[in-house]
Amino acid sequence: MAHHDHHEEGHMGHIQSKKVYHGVILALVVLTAVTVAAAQLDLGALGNDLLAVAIATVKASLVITFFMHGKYEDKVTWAFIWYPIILLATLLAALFIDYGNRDWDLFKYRAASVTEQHHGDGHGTTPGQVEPTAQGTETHGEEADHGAPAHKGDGAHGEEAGQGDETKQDDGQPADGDDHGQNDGGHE
Amino acid sequence: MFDHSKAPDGTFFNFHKEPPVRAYEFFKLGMWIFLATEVLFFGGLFAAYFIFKYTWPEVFAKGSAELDVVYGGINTIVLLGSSYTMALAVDAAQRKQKKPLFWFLVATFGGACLFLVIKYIEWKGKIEHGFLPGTDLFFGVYFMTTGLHLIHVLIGMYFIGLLIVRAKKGRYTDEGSSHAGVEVGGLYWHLVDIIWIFLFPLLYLLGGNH
Repeated sequence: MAHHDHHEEGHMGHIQSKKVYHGVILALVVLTAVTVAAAQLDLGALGNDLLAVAIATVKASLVITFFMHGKYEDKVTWAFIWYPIILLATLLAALFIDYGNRDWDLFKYRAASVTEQHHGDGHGTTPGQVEPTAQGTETHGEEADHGAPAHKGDGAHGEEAGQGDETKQDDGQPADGDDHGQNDGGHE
Repeated sequence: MFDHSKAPDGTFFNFHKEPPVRAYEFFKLGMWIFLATEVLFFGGLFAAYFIFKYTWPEVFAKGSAELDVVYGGINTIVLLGSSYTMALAVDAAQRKQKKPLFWFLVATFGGACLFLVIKYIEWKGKIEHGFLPGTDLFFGVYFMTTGLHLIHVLIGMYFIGLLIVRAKKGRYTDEGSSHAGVEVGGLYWHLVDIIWIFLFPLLYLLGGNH
């Protein structure tokens, strides 16, 4: 099919055959049914998600290309179609890589830390001290978790481990932390 | 109020004085740029959805099981249908057909109303059963995403209502007139549809598998 240049003087937009709209809505309804059917398959959590997002992306592409006349738009418009998609894909990819590669479960960590009783420093016992943010605790927690056995006498890690421990002592183990605080807290 | 007709020549603000075809291109590009920001606006919520779901799968499985796929499915079809009539309305405007333009816009508005009614029934049921935005993370995400989408539906309805009134007066189909308004309103309405295309499977279908 050959198309006229839509920038032609006096022409606003490109008139496409009405059959295109009928075909697209039919495809969209069929793909909605396909989405519902595909969700019944057991492909694992990630597999089902990817399949559903893939079908939705096909549907969205149909809407953009034919309903929104993206097919007849110029390069500038397509730049503004692609840029949020690329940014969003980057955001999601970065978050998945980040969350997929760390022991992020704050609650699991907290529960474990109370029972395991890591060593702490003197600061932790001060009542009313501002708690580190959830993000901070999370990060320090990971380090403390992995490096816990090596912490005794390890000056480099001492401070970070100590910070992580502040939260733990707030959880109810102040006395024990006090004992070890002078030695292991990293305050030479 | 800024008076566009008094804007100096050669600036962005005097596009009303541009030849209609160029003004039409300006309007459309402006809406595409706005839609790009809308995608990012919702993108944050989609990111939250995925992170929360993979962090607390059991909460999402439980919450998603409470949602009625039938309501969600019907609403998907209703919204797709209204997107279809909107596309046909833009087509009618391009062909300068006054009557079809008017009726396709009315049909689109009707679809939006039907969507609201179904959403109302659905939300009412959820709230009566004690599922509120603060119930758990799933319902937090559910009410935030569908609620934000609902606000967009309402804004779209205002837009379409305005188009109906103006189409009736022949503003888009009269000799020498520009139908840029219909085109731009259509772009916005299609985005509302696209967002629902993604929300439906994620909220209604995919929680229960985990």
